[in-house]
Amino acid sequence: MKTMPSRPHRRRVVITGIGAVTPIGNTMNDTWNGIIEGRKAVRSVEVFDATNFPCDFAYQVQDFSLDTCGFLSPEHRKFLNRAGQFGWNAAREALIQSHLLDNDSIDFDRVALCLGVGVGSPDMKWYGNVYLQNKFETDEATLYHFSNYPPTLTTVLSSMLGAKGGNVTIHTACASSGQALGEAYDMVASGDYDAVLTGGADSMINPFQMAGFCLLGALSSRKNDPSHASRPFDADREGFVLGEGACMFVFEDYEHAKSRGAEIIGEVCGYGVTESAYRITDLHPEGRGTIEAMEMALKDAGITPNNVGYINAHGTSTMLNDRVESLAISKVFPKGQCNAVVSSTKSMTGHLISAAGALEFAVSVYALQKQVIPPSVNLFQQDELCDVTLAKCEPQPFKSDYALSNSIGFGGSNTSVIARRIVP
Amino acid sequence: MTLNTNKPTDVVFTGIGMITSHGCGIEANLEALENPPMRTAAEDYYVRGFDPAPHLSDRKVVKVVSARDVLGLVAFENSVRNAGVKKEAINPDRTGLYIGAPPSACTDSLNYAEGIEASRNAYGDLQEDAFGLHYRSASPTTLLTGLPNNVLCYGSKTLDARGPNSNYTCLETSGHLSIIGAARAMRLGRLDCAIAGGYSAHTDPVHTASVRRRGLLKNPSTGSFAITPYRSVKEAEGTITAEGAAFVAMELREVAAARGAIPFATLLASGMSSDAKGPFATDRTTGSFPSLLRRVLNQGGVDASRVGVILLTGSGIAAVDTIELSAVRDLLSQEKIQPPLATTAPVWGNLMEAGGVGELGLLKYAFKTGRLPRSTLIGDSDTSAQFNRDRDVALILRASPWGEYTCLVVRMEGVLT
Repeated sequence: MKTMPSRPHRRRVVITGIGAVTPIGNTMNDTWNGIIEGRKAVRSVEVFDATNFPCDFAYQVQDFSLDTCGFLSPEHRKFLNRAGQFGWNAAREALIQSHLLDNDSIDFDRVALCLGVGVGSPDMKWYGNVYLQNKFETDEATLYHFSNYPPTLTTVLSSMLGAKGGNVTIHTACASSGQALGEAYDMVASGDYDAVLTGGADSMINPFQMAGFCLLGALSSRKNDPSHASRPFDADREGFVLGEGACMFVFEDYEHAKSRGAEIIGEVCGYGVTESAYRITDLHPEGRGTIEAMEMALKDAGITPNNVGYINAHGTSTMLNDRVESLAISKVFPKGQCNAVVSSTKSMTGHLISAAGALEFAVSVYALQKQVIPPSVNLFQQDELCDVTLAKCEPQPFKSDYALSNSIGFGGSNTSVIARRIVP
Repeated sequence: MTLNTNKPTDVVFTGIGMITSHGCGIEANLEALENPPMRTAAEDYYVRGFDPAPHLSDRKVVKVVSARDVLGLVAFENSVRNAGVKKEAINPDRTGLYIGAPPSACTDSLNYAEGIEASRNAYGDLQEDAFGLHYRSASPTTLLTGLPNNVLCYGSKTLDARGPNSNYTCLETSGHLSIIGAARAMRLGRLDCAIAGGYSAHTDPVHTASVRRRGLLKNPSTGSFAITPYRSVKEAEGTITAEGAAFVAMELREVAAARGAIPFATLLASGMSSDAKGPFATDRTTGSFPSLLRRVLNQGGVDASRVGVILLTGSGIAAVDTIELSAVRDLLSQEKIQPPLATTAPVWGNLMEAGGVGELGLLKYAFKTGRLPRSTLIGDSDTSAQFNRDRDVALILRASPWGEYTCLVVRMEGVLT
């Protein structure tokens, strides 16, 4: 591992709330239970008519209803697009769990937001009937436009929380929320903030963005067998499957959380972030960037690869990602020398794009808390070029205090975030 | 909130790059502040007829990114050259880009126009299922063209910068957030060098119409067309969004010194705050902006009496200008000698994500010459263009109609003659 300068003193950062809206559950607990059951929520696209696309299936959020209790004004509700609504519910769940809003002594000048949010969901009918017809001088068009703005969700959530410390919205494609978690961690660790609401939200299940991924050849076209389409690290994989959803956390200074008697779910103890500086869509063939992100996170956490028991891989189910990520993992965590078990939960949730990193870190935190490694679903024959120790087809117990979650985005951003188990 | 810094002299600025409708390079934009050209239409603030090829290391990149990304890449490379940062000399693992990027534009989907029209039935109604047959007429890289992190990707590749990085999509505050994020990463020991800044092109017709309908845009009129900030609520005319990009090179002082670079400013402190009232909602009563200003000065260990210049946003939007000006007055209420208040907005326009970054170039110029260009002086500030350079600290503010605020506290150095 490369040597890096010793780090300045940092505060401990703990997790005091997690919320999620995903294709397999509309709360984090439901999502975790679904993952342990190996539930696959893939089905024909219902959000629009995708019949003639090479990929007409996706992992979609089901039975969702926006939680408007108490906080959401009608004005703000109008600003929330589909992903924004997922983000709202997930944030509310995380905040309720954290009890941050129940405490009168919180200094909300020292509370901020840092979210990874997608590029919005262009609606084809709006585009064809409004934009191309030059009919956008209407209130509806204006609202539609701003509801798809990346900072809109962050700003609406800041009003729910009353957080005056400031709002940060990040977009680095599929690494967006992994990066948001990392920056939120730095914001608290540096002493700048006492607490940060962080996470991600996204939905790219719409005609334009699905077309965009199809044009790139990135999506699975296993139309006759969609439930087996997302199969990370399997020899027969041929693309990813879109998912949608949101996952939010409350990251908090350990002493701050302790002093107010908050329940501590886990600890964030390491963050690595790099740029591959290679190509917009392709990973560097030798894993450059991905390797360094994991090494940086380990160094940041002050642990060795041997300490890590579980790795939630980015594992998209594309041929290139899974091979290069496996190569990178095997270089940092050599088989035979390290015991880390790898899985990608995208086989059950699909690819949540900007929200993927947040959800997968939440799964890692739960895995540590429950001491259970999520199953490798849809893994029938491991690609021999993905030479890592993959999780079994069933949930397996393990003993470890550390888990690492990777995110890798178009544009070359790589993030690794490490969670530490907190024993009550 | 503010950056918690125990070593306030650590992060320095060593270079700046910029492009606007006034030209490429900080000099062209300073010249515009000294001798403002007459502007009569919104389009005058767009970058048109510009050939980026001579400014880019990889000229082929213009074929795969949007026009706004090209602006970002030009200013990025401009800042790297200005700072004398060499690809061969940096530590790639400890060099990173921090960027404020605009959201995707509707024009990014123009590639699909042919497919959309082909998907109409005999009555002209759009058929989503038919689009699944016709989208292939679009370029295979359509999705990539609209990615907000293209400048991060191609800029990193150009400089071989592989260290920590980020890409902020927070509109007006993005440029400052990139500097704040990079500084935090440097102070946490993650980075030696960062190129930080933003690029903007909110000239998409849908965006323009949407902002106008919110009452934020200045309406076209005869004669001069420029932002006139700090008018009363009744007289305020709105903002003018401009295209452009601005980046700065930031380094740890010892890293800059090791390569012989002379910093022109030190970042003493920085921070952000929010009214937390939601989109397009400002609320002066929250006091979040005055609170931010006091806090960053405190963090930087700076007394308000040491502030020589304050560069404001001056958006031309009444609600924003009112909060910004009152926050500054609150800060300076006990000061006998008031520093000059200035803004580039009447000349550069509202550079959105790029805003508040080129201002570092203006400060370098002002502290070198001992005066501010008259075009930048805020009308009701009782000052002349001359100012006291012994007060070597300057503030750069950003205020947005989303009730979000940022502030940089910098100490000028190496430019005093």
